[in-house]
Amino acid sequence: MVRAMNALTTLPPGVDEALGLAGQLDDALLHGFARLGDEHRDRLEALAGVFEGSPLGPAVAEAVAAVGRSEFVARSFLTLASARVALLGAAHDALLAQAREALGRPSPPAEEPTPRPAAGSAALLASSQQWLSELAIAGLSHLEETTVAPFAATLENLQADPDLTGLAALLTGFVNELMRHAPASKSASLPSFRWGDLWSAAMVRTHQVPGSPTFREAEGVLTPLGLDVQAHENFACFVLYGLFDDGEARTVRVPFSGYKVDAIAGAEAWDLFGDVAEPVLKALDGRKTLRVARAELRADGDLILRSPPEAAGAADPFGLADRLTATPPPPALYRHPVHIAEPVKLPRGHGLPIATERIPDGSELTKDVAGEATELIGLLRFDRGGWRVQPLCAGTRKKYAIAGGELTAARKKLKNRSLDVLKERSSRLLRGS
Amino acid sequence: MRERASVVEGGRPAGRRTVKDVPFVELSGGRVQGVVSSGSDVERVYVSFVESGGGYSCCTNNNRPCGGLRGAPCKHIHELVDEAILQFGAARVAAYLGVADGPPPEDARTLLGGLRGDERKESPGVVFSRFLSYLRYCELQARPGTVLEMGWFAP
Ligand SMILES: [Zn+2]
Repeated sequence: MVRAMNALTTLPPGVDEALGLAGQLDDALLHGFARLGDEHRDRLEALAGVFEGSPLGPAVAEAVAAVGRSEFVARSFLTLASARVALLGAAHDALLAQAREALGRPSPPAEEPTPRPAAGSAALLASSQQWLSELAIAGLSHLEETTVAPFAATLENLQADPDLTGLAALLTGFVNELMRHAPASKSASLPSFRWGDLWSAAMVRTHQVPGSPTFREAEGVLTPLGLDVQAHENFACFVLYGLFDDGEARTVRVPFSGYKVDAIAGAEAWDLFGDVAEPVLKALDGRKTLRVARAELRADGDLILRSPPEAAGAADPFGLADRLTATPPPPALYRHPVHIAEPVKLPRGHGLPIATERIPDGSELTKDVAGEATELIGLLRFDRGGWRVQPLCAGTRKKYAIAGGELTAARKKLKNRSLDVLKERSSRLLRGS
Repeated sequence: MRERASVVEGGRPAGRRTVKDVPFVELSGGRVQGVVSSGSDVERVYVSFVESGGGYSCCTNNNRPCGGLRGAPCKHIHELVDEAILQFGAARVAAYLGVADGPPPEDARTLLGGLRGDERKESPGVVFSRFLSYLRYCELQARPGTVLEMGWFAP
């Protein structure tokens, strides 16, 4: 396994170039298309050159020519965003193939659900596209609070449509982050690559509404591997990684997703998920497996719990780690290295850096615990130009540490429940106003 | 070479808020503004703000003036700013209010003490409706499943 991880120290051909080309678009995005200099134009033309002969080629060439003449239409920005997404998508595919080859693990096929017709949301999507275009024209390094504020009404409408959850959660986080940095002229440094990611991901998602993955009903035993916490001020997506055995064992994601207010964070945010979540947290605390019934096993690797699972026997994640499988890749439009989360078991001395940016405050599985582990189960991640590992489960001499194992104890210490208080305020004032 | 980072730390609240006392606080339009619960009447909330330069206001959601304003920010405004510091961090709140020099003030008393401004008379309607739209987040429905897009937002 150490040798397998050594195979990851050299990037697959083309990945570094793809990231570099994306960075050239990011420079223009930061600078503002309304004030492109010759050096920006040259770099955009080089970007167009890379796409020559590909299906996107003519559109990218046309978009680069148009913005070069200062003709700014949303379609050009959508094309430039698609180009960046295609570069990162190709990097995703190459990196994932590299990881799976190193692990000797076959790749399950991707499912491409048919996009839904935009129908009622067409105007909303067009208005989002328009605002994203305006951001690009003005340039993110010239960002002011007033650049962002006018988008609030559209954003509220996006949030109200559950079919647009992905785009709305993304744009909400992006808007919050832009507000934190406004005025950008006063910010010491701006996360240009990240903003290029967020801008282009949002832009391509204004083009179509994602379809639903297929699923079948399933029951079986779930061995928790640890929790992946993703959240911004107004949305939480907590993903329990686990090994699900219904006769055949496979890696699954058990997701808990929902909108929230900024005041509800950390352990308290689990209040959003009620009865179904509580046994999951208890199982993490007690190192137990869960018996799952009438759940929805989706082709994309999600296992959706529809009812509270029951605690079963003692969990042995390290003993079962040889049965970890790859989860299916996302649909093509959604591929980006940030979505790579390949579950692996690693021995001491694996040599990969720990993805500390993904460890939540208060986690029992800290960087130090992960560093001292006798063996480690984690998610192989790619960021900052290299592979890293997000710890899920760390073997120690006593009982193992697991990401999320601390939450039951942390929740016992919570005094009043913010969500209850706000719901009470909300019912009193929303009706009374 | 500049680091190509997709996921960065940041955006974690600086501390744990008490929504019972201050259900809503935001930085918007050059103001720290929000809604503070009345200590005595559960039906009543105060709508308060303090702005860059030090101007301030506090009244009930029915636009009755706050009795605590006697030529200076009342206790509601102090509570509001303390909660803003918990949510956004002292440095950002101070910078937002134009107090950029020196170490960030650690509490509302120090921060407000450094501002000189007058009372502003304004309808509480705008802030109150922002509060109601904030509460909307408690009622929004998300599509079940992993929200792939959240992969960019580590905790
Ligand atoms: Zn007052």
